[in-house]
Amino acid sequence: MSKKVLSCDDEPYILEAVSYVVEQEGYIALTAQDGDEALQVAKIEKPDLMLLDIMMPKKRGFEVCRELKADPATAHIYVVMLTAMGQERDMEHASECGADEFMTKPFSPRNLRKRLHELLD
Amino acid sequence: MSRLGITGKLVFGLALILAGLGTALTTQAVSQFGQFLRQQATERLEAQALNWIEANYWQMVVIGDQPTLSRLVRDLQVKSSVSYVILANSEGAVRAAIGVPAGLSQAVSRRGDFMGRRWTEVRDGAGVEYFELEMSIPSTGTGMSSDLESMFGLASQARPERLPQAAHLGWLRIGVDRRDFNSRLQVVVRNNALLAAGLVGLAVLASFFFARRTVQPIAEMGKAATSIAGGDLSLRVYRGVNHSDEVGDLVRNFNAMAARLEHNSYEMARFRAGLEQMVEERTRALEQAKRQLEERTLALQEANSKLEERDRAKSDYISTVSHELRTPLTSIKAHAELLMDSPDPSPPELERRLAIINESTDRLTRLIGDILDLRRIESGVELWKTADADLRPIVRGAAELLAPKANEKGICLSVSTPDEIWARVDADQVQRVITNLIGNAIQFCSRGDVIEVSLARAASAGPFGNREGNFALIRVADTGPGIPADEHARIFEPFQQAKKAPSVAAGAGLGLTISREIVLHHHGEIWVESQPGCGSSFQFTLPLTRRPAFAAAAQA
Repeated sequence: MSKKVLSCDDEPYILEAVSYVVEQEGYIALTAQDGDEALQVAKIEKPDLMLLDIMMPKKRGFEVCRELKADPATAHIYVVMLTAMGQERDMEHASECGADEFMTKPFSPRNLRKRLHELLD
Repeated sequence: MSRLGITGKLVFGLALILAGLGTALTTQAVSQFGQFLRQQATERLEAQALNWIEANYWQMVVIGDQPTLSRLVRDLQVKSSVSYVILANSEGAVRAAIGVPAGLSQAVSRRGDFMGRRWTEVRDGAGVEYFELEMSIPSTGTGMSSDLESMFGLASQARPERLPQAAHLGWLRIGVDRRDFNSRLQVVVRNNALLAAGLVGLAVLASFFFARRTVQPIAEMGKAATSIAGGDLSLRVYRGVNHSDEVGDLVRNFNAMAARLEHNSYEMARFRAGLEQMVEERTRALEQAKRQLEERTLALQEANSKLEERDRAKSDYISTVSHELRTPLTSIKAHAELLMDSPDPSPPELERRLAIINESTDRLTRLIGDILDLRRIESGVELWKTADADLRPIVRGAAELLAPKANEKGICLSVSTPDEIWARVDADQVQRVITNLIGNAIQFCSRGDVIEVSLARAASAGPFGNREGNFALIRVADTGPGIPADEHARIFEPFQQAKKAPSVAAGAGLGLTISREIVLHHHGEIWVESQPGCGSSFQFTLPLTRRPAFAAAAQA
């Protein structure tokens, strides 16, 4: 059974590119365009991996991550923060919120592809 | 005695001494004077008796009868003021007597000194005491003694052995009442005693005044010393200050000491007052300095916190700008790389990715342009092309510019500009504000919504400055989703829509911030009236100018 990857971003073009990569690599691509939606989908679908933007409407990535990690049902999800906020303090904040990995935008689809395989296979 | 004081003690002592002395002296004087008086009295009586004998010798001898003798005896009693007189012959037989008190013996002792005189004290039956002189009546020695003796009836054999017979005719006894004799003495004694008492009193008085004179300055000094000890240094002693004795010296030295004390105390008080004033001044100066320092510290802290605030804001701003720039860049990078990695992309995919890349590039360009514009306006280096202009074409131009986009989205865009309104503005910048507002409205509105753009006159600049006057009011109202009240101010801050207003879609940026800066530059105000679900109404004002003459002429 294919692994599920939930991509969360309010930028449709970025979401489009990420989903494309995920699908191309043979995983099931789930998407969410804001924080609330991301949490809902995560709780229902229990994805194996989440690519989480920070600056999202309704709920920021930090909060989404914290809630996911606080909920035993979703705490196991591997969370990769994929964000244009690349400063030191953002990384610290992300790890405080329980994020497993931090990836800065602009990202390379090639690197994302490679990382997906490393994490999911 | 302890309550008596020095004066009392001195006076008491002096009085005691003087009284003793006076008493002794008086006693001595009285005693001696008494003796003197007695002697004088006896001598006088003796002399009177002798005179009487001599004067009446012949009468006694020649006449010698009882009446004569009685008369003579009475004469003597009267002349010499004696109590009684007894005349006796040499045998002791009484020949004549007068005033002899009852109970007194009339016998003659026939004893006496070599002159036949003898003083005795006798007492009559009533107890009255008398001094009595018994003296012999001597014979004159003239050779008639035998006759006389015969006349007196004297017997030669009866003569006393101690007296020669020839020289002795008889005896005379004279008694003086001792009270009479003493009365003179008593007067003397009394007078003496009075004198002595007066002298003692005078002495006591004098000693009292003397003591007072000596002691009072000392007593006053004592009082003054008490006062000085109590803190009142102004007291001086005036009594005795002119005395030329040791007390005077003491008083003068005491006053000098008090004066020095007072002077020192005054100097000390002045010094202390000066010191206190100095301390107070220093304290005040220090307090002021402290206050100033605190104020400065506070000001510095404020300035520092403001700087920190600004620094943080700047840092946030840079962080946000960086984020905003990275977002379109991410799209470009991702889709470009996907294309590169796709060996044979299908034409639609190629077109799609190129379109995304193109649009993202435009967005990036716009963003960079906005950032630079805002920076230019905020730092005051923007070159404004200000001129008097009718606002109507500016508003209409902006609406026309965006009409196709509204049409495309199925939104009704209406414009109302009822009257010509002139203002001194940078037409391009004002149009940019209106374009921004309409663009935002289109972005947040959905198909079927309505956007109304209107130009009107207003009597106030807006809700913030409370300024009244002639203003143009430009309003862009839509029937879109609306904005919560707590975000009305925030949406004019850079990137705030994207960051904090998650209810709207992406695409916010610096539009409203730049619009606000432009309006503020024109001394207008910009604000939004909106409620979620009831649409939004963005409004801004611009101060009006009178229609320029050339424009009026051109129109005419």
